Parts: sequence; structure tokens; C-alpha cells
Amino acid sequence: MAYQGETVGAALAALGQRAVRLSEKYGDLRGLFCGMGVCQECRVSVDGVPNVRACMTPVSPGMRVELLGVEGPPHG
Amino acid sequence: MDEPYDLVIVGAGPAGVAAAITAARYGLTVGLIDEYPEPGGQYFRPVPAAFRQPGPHDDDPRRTVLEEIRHLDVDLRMGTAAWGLFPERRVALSDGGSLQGRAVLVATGAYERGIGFPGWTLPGVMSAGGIQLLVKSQRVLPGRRVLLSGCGPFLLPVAADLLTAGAEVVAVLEAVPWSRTLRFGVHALASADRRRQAGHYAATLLRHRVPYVHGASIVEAMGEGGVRRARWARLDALGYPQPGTEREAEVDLVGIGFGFIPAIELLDTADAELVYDADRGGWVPTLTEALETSVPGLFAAGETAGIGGVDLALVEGRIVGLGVARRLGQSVPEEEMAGLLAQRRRLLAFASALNRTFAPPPGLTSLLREDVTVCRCDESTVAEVVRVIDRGRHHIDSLKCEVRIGMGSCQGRLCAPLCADLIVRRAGLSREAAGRLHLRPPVRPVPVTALTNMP
Repeated sequence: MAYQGETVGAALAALGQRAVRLSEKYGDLRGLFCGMGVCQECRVSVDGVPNVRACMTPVSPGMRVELLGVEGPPHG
Repeated sequence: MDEPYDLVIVGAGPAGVAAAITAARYGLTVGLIDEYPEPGGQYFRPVPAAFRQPGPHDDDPRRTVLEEIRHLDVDLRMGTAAWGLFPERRVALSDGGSLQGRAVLVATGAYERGIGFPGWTLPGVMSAGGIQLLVKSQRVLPGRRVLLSGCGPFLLPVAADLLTAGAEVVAVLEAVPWSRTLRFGVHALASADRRRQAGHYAATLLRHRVPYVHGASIVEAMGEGGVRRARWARLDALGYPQPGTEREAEVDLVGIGFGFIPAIELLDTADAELVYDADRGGWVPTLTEALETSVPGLFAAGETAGIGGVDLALVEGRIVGLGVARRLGQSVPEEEMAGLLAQRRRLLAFASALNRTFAPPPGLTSLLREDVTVCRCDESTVAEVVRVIDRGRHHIDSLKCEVRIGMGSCQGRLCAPLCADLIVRRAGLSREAAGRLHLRPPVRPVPVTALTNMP
């Protein structure tokens, strides 16, 4: 569930989803950090396209967001 | 090749928008590029129209520039990243195209200065500005119990926004001691506007009984899968945590904001001369009075030219707009330019005093414990970086040969300042001597298809 005009990052935060991916080398959980497109920590997979910044990407109807290797929200 | 624009502007924040409006009013052809879908930058970031809710700064008279720009003949290239600046002032775009300008203004703003400490990579530890964007512009609370830690007055609006949105703020920690902030405070509060603002923040914090602690900082964030607890401590005069003063609280969100760093990447790729000036936030371009860099026709304004706030950004944008119009033969009233230059001098003096007062104390780098991750992308630890520094690599660019800092996806924006701090600490050099990472295009993440049409 998300609202028109929301970013993917905001929608995830609204669901209480803090971790969005695993770090590449050690597999540590990472979440949104800078929230403005600089740090690249919030990269998720959107409609099969990997490495999309959740904080910069507006949601759209039917969009499929995947958090690779991370347990998603219970009702996401 | 297409006819070049009179002025191509990268960044549609306050400085970029002000420059575009000024230039367009003088009949110049203007192209304005920004990665976001709407003009406004971080400061005027609007609430999505579909929310039908009042946005931040809706009642701010300075916001009218965003209305004005829609009524002028400006080529708005929103949702487009500028990833390189090539000879003949050609700006490369993420859609595969490019824009050439008779003049180019880089007004790409700034990003937040972080500090590294144990646990700072845990989900739930965010930059204070990132939290503010979620709360104010997206109406989302990323946590319920929050600790804010950093330097400078920016923490106060973030705390007020969180409280107003219903979050609990455990404490606001200002790393700079009262003894240093007090004198600046007296100076700053001479302005009625700032008095009103400070009064509002103070009242909000008091009403919610939030401690505003000076001379203190977060020292560790803890939790499995995300932050659950945070520990903070009092700092001594140099900013080192004082043993025995630690406090701890349960939190699910930590906001850190230790000031801002100018986003100078595009200027760097064009080989504009940069100097280190702590009073202006770090590496900044050397500028003429007209805000032209050492590269003819290349200008900088707003936070990119040095950290100074929204009023300075608006004034600098207008200066560039007027200056370029005049250079292209338009008749610009002398008194208009003189008035703006005088305003700039006054605002610069204030900004420098603020940046000097709230510079992060040097002892904070002691939080970079051996096992702390310095580079969030490549996951190098403090121990790994220090080992290389101790072997004699005393410049950031040379560190990169061995620990890959700056080669991850954030391109060193987060780790380079921390590595410079480590060089200062280990080798006793100045920040200036420690250097900076030289970035190459693409300076923004773009699909490979954007590079195939490289200018």
C-alpha cells in the first residue's frame, strides 16, 4: 500500500521496513541513510531493474519492489 | 549541434531557480536541469500534489520563485541527472542527451556531513536531513523514539518536525559546547526573524520536555537488524568523549547531522580551481565577484559555492543571472547588481561565523574505532585504512589505490571526508594537505545507455 506521489523509500518507511538490502561484501543489513540520492544505500529492485534508489523513485500502480536477501514487511 | 543556450543551470534549488528567473527576465535562453521531478531543491521540496496537504514553507514568501519559474520561458529538464561537464561547456544528461551553454551555472547544493561511529551503518541510523525529507515532504515517520546528534542549528527544525509529527525525541545532542555557541547566539538573535524561529523551536522542545544537551554526541548505535539502543557521552573541550559520562536509551531511529559539504563534483570534472575553506564547509571553488570559477563561462552559486543557507543561495543565483545577462549585452542596472553584492557580503559574514562556530570538534574522529566501517560501499574498516595511511599514503587519492575508497557507488561522498580525518589524525597533516578525491564522470549513477551518446 502506498500513496501517489510517495517515493518507494517513504512507502517502505511507512511500513516500518528499516532494512532494504544486504551489503555486498559482508551481507550486513542496510537501510535508508541520506534520503536524497547521495549515499546509494537504499538500492532496491524495481520491476526487475536492480540498483534503483528507493529514496528517489516515485511509486506507481502495480510496481513490484524487491528487497534482495531481506525479509520484507508482513503486509507489503 | 543545436544552438547553445545562453545559460545552462544544473540544480533547481533556490540558487538555480533564482538564476533562471533573473536570466529569463532579461530574455536569455535558459535550460534548467534537476534530478528531482519538481524544481525546489531540498529546501523547497514540495509535498506530492496528490496528498492535498499543505507543504513545508508553503507560507514562506521566498517560495514564490517556484511559481514564477513556471510562467517564464525556461526549458525545464526535471527528472534528469547531469553526470558530466565536458569542453565547450556541454553538460551530459542521464537521458543520453546533452545541453550546451554560453555560460553554465553549477548549483548542485550540498549534502550532509556524517561522522563514523560504532553502529552507524545499522538500518535506522539516518542523516538528519534524510529524516526531515521523509517527515516534511513525504509525511512519513521513519521511527517513533529518536535520538538526534550533530552540530549546528539544523538539528532544531528536524526535532520540531519529528515532535509535531508525533515522534518522541529522546534528546538533541549538540557537539559544540555552550561556551562556543553562546557568543554566536547573541549575534544571530539580533535578527527578529531568527528570534521568532529560535523561539518556536525552543517552545516546541520545552513543551515536549526534550533535553537539548550541548557538548555531547552519540558514541554508539546498537541492535540486531536495526538500531534498538543508542549511547551518548559528554565531550571534553576538544570533542573527545569523556569516560564515565555515557548515557543509554532505547531508540528506533538515530539522526546525525554534523553540517553540510558543498557538492562540487561537476566543477571538479571541469578542472575548476578548488580551495579548502573550513568556514565555507570544505572544498569550494575560487570565485570572482561575478561568481565565475577559474574556468571561463563556468559559474557556481548557492551551497556549491560554500555553505550559506537559502537567502545567500537566492542572492547568488540572481548575481549569476544578472552577470551573464550583462555579459551577453543586456543592459543591467548598476544599482541592482551593487545591491545584490552588498547583500551577499553581509550574508557571507553571517554564514562564515555560523560555520566556524559549529565546526565539528576534532575529537569526534576518535569515534572511528578500529572495527568501524569507513566506506559504506566497499566496507573497508578504520583498521584497514589506517594501515595504508601508516605505510605513507598521506593523500586521499593515493589511499584509493589500496583500499578502494571512492570506487563504490557513492563515489566517496561519504567516506572521503572520514578518510581525510583519519589522515589528519595519523599523519598530523592539515585537511587541505590530505586532499580530496578527484571525481571523474559519470558523477551521478546513470544507465550505460546514457554514456553511449557521450559528447
